[in-house]
Amino acid sequence: MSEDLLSEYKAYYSVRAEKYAGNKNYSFSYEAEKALSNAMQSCGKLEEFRTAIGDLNERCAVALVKDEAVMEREHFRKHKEDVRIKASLEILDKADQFNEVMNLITMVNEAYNRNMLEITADEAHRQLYHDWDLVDRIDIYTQAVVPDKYKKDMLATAEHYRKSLRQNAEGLTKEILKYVPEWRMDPEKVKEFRNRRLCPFADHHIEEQLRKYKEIINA
Amino acid sequence: MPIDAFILNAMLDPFRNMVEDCKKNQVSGPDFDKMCATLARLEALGQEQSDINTFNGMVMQENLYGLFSDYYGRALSAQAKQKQTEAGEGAYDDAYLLKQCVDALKQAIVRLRESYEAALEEAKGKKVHQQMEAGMDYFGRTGDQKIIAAGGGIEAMKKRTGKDMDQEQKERPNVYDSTAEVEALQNPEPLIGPIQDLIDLGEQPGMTLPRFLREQIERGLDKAAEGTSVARGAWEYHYEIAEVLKVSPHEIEKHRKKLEVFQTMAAAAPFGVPMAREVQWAMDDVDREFEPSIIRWNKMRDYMESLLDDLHFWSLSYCSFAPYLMPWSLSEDPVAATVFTQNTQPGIFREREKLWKKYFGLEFMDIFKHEIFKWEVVHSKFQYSQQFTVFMIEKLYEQCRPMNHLSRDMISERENFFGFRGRPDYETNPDILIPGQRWQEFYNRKFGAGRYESKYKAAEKGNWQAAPWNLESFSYGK
Repeated sequence: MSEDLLSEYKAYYSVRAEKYAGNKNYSFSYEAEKALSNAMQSCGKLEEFRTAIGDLNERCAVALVKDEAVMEREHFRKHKEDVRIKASLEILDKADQFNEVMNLITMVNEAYNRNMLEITADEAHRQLYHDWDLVDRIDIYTQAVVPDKYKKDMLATAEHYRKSLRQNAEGLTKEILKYVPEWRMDPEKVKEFRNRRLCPFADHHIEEQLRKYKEIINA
Repeated sequence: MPIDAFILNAMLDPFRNMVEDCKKNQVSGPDFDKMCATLARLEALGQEQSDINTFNGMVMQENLYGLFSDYYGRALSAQAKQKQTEAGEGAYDDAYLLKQCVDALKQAIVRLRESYEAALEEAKGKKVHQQMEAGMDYFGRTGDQKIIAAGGGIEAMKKRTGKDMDQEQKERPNVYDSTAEVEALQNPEPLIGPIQDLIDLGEQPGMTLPRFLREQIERGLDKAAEGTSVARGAWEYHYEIAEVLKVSPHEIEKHRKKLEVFQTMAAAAPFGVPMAREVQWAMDDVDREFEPSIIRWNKMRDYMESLLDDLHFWSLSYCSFAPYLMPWSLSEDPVAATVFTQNTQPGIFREREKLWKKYFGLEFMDIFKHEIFKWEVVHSKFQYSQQFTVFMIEKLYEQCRPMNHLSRDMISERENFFGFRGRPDYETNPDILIPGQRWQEFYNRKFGAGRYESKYKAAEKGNWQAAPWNLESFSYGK
């Protein structure tokens, strides 16, 4: 019975390793599972596995975390997501230090939590893209040709939009500071690839709008 | 002042329930103590802070949700290890371990079904009055007191809303019932099937743990139980919705491609179930591929609508009944408000026209040749009739310039387009309800014949007398 069980365990660990065979996205997992399987194959009795296993099971968990972090890193590298990539970089930097699964999970969760705050702080710099139309409306109401008696009202409307822009920037800063102390808006970041890709306008339009926006919100 | 209980309870109840579950299951030890301490910290912050964003910010900076989850996992793991130690050598008994695996799978099915039943119960809408009153009480505590006073006070508002809800329910019996939708969209049986297959495998006579673990890999049952196999249904559903809504060809193509990518990955994967992470990044690739064209399309459509709405709005302000229409009727002096529009809208329109040219290199007349305009017309999403559109192009566009006004004849012609107080309306696209009908047909296909009508009010057809669009006869599109 014990011999049957031993050969069944050997078969199981062999199949477990082969699950990742040929998949370049899971190369660490394949190597780790292979090492675990080899440890099992080396046993003459089932009880020997308690010693032979060592920390090989934990190494499989680390390998899986690394494989998934590599996929994430490569994905964000391809898309020039310079902030979102940080979680996977941190995980890959630290993963090999862990030989206890719960601590590994804790490290991964902490990395993603930190990164969520970094993403929040980063994407808040996109505010110009949300307020683009407000900047345009200031120009529309300032430049629109109207009879003289209505000019004052038009300029008042333009001023209202100017005030809204400033309030939006101030309000955003106040809220982001609750998550990320010492955050300060840097509108220039809208030009960075990960933000720029979301704007349908030409580069020179962005430069022009950015100049106007920074002047209005005193950035 | 603490975060209002209405908001705080919704956020913290799941964590409170997890602590209670642990107590019920006699989980204990240092990790459980830390879990309780983390919840205590959440509760304390909820009492100390009055602003929800400040609360959330502190929770995120201290990683309280992450810590809670971490301690929870450790506490359960510690309990499992404790039970193993108590079982002694018995814990390594193959049959015992196999039974533990199978029991865990059975528990998973129980939990899936319990969640589904809870969702169905919630979907019956039996608590809608209670929920409405709780929401109103929250508004009463935190909302603008002037608005509340203008509404007669919260109790009066609750009473009125309650009466309206009862009336709605008489007219549309399923207005607050979403059980059919939950049954169609959240039925766990497709997920349960593969899990049951695993249980059946585990309970085969003579089954051992290693053989159970090996066969589930060899037969793909482990992958099936992850749920990725039911994801195909989700991609199909989103593609169907995109085809019904017809927001843009890019949206439709995006969803079509996502489904195609999933099918390709499934075909190449062992047992037809691709790895979840690989699917996640492949789908993100598709989203990013289409995002720029979707954003550009939507922005251009907004500009087009703005320009045409300017012409519509400006010319309407001249009509004799304009002071009775919003937004002018909301003004202290509605007539003066219409005069203001007459004098300022042309200047605004011409500045918007300059932006249209600046950003997209297009003239006003290019709107009507553009694929976006044609898409909107073909799919009955364009709000104006062909007749009114031609009037805007041929008569209003040229007249809408600073310091210029519509002639008496043109005002008269304009007035005849607008269906004031039941008169025939020639400015609205008579097919404008077709998108809603498309949605209604889709809805009834998905959730049962007549379901839409039993929940939602039918859009009212106005006295729309314009002829339907015929792009072939529209010379400005060529």
